Amino acid sequence: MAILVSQETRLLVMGISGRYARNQVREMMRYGSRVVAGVTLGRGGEAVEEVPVYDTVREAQQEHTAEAALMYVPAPGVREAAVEVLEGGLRLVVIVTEGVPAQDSAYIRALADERGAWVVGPNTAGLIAPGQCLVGSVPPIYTMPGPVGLLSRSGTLAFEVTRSLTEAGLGQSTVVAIGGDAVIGKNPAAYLQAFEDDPATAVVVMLGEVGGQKEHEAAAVVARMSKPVVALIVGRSVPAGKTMGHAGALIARQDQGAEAKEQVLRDAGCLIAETLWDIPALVRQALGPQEATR
Amino acid sequence: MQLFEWAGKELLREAGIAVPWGRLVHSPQEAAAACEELGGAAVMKAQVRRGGRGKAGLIRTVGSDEAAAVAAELLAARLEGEPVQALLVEESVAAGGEWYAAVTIDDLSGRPVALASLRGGVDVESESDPPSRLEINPLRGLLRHDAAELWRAAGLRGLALRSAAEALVGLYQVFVENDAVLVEVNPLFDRGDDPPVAGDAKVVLDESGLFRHPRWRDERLADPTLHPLERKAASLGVVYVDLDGDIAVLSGGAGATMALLDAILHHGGRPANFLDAAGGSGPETLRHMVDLVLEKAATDERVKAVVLNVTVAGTPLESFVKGAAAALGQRPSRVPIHGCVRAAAAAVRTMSLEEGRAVLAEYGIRLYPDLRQAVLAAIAVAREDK
Repeated sequence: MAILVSQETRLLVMGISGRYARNQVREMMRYGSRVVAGVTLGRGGEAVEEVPVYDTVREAQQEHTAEAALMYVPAPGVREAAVEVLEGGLRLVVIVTEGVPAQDSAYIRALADERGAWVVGPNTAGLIAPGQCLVGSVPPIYTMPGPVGLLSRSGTLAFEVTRSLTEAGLGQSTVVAIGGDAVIGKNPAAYLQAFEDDPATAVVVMLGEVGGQKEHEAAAVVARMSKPVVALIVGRSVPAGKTMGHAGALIARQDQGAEAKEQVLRDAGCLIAETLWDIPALVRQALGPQEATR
Repeated sequence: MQLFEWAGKELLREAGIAVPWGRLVHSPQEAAAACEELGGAAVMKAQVRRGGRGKAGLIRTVGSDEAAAVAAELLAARLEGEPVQALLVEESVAAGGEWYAAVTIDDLSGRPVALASLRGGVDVESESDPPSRLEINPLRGLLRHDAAELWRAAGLRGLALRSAAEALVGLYQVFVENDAVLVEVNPLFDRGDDPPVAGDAKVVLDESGLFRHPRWRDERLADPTLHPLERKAASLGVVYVDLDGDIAVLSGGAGATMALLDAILHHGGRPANFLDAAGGSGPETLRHMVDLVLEKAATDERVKAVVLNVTVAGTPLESFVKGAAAALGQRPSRVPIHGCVRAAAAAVRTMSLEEGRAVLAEYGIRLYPDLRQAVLAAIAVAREDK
């Protein structure tokens, strides 16, 4: 088990004909992900890595009924492409693109909510259920199957921490980069709930950032979870009013800083990591001796 | 990216919202002439992006005899380092009261939200009764009766409801059409049965939306408070934030880099910059990133060491190594570079990790098996230097 995806998940790739998308599709298929269709307008009838390409989502869906879409679409086209996949009935939409206007993301999120779909991103490296399914560019070599559910605002930080968990013998149920933008499809709170409900997950690692109130909302979920949560908040050195790479990491008010967020999470029962290197030990502590060696 | 008040007001006017008559001026002579046009008395407002202009004495009511002198004084002023480059000379507006209206994006719901209050003016945010809020479904938009209900919730009654609602719908229009993340009017002057007048305009645009708005594209680079390296980086597709520490950082990925800066801080060092590739990670961008850090190290005496952190899986390791070699070949580093380089999967197809590490070592970079050791080594260098 895992959250959001499984061995059975049928994937559709939007913008499959681009060079970056091709490379990723190759890696995903090598890992065993079931990429059943691609869509690039004007390339219908071609194939990428033996995956059939269609001009539109509707056409692809008539043949394949994919459940999850992975979008490699430049920022100006993301809103329309997302509408197309949502109207095509896909229940999971992973938007890799960086630099999507916040109002486009708000529109996509509202439409997805109306249709009961789950949007990961924008500005995400994707997700992996180790041993089952890779959607996006999480390096499989850094992962192994196990009981840790990991969610992260940042892709690169998720990679670093996942690698250190694997090196410590702590495998993962699902690793998901939820998106670095201020407006994303689902907030950390929703992922925490999904991990709480996932039988394969025994402990959760949440990698958050300064800015916004999403960790405050997450704390309310942590407080009623049965599973332990280890959290790291990065961005201590971000000067107020400046953004460091992620549009979401903007400190507009006092309670959006790292210390304030850590306090709220600690009060809710989280184990707080001081640096990224403290995480494996905290996870081991949270699991208890039996679980960790299982 | 925040617009100047005058530019924000232009957008409001285009959307049909009443704003005071005014002129943008750049010299005391122009300011005096604008005052004459207004019949002698005027409000003179320094055009800076930072808040707190009123408290800093940068908004003044003047008569025509003192206009030139006050303008000269304001044009020589700075607010938190930002120089005043222009003034907005406006008619003064007789108002019954000061309201507040805004449209922004709610961080939790991810939806636009409209705010309205009959108690605007200074410190509206810290008032004990906060503005009334209305969440907007972006698939539907904000209609006049929605806005009217919001103003009613804020306590407004009577004929003024109609024009206040129309003004709020106008704000939402400015918000949507310009890809703003905030459109705020404070104060919004109560004019009784006449339409309210926007006394100020704070419009913050979404930098990700600029591809749809070429008129604002160069505005960000024009910000005089940007550090020269920040301006240079922005033009190269790199996000660079200048900090005042002793350890420069050459790293990729916003989250991993923030975590690295925090770790440096935690172990007793002080980071000197933030760095992230904004527009992909091609060989050119990687080279620019190395260049920027070398320039920082070369030009800032406070920098004692550089921490290098490279973890690549999708991006070819070769791109980074070649970029770094080219940059270091042209400008060797003034300070020692301690780092950790990891690469896996597709990244090592054209260059193995051992080859990559060997090339970097040739250029004097000291590599460690894990990043923490590199951080501790760099901090030790900075300490010795003190």
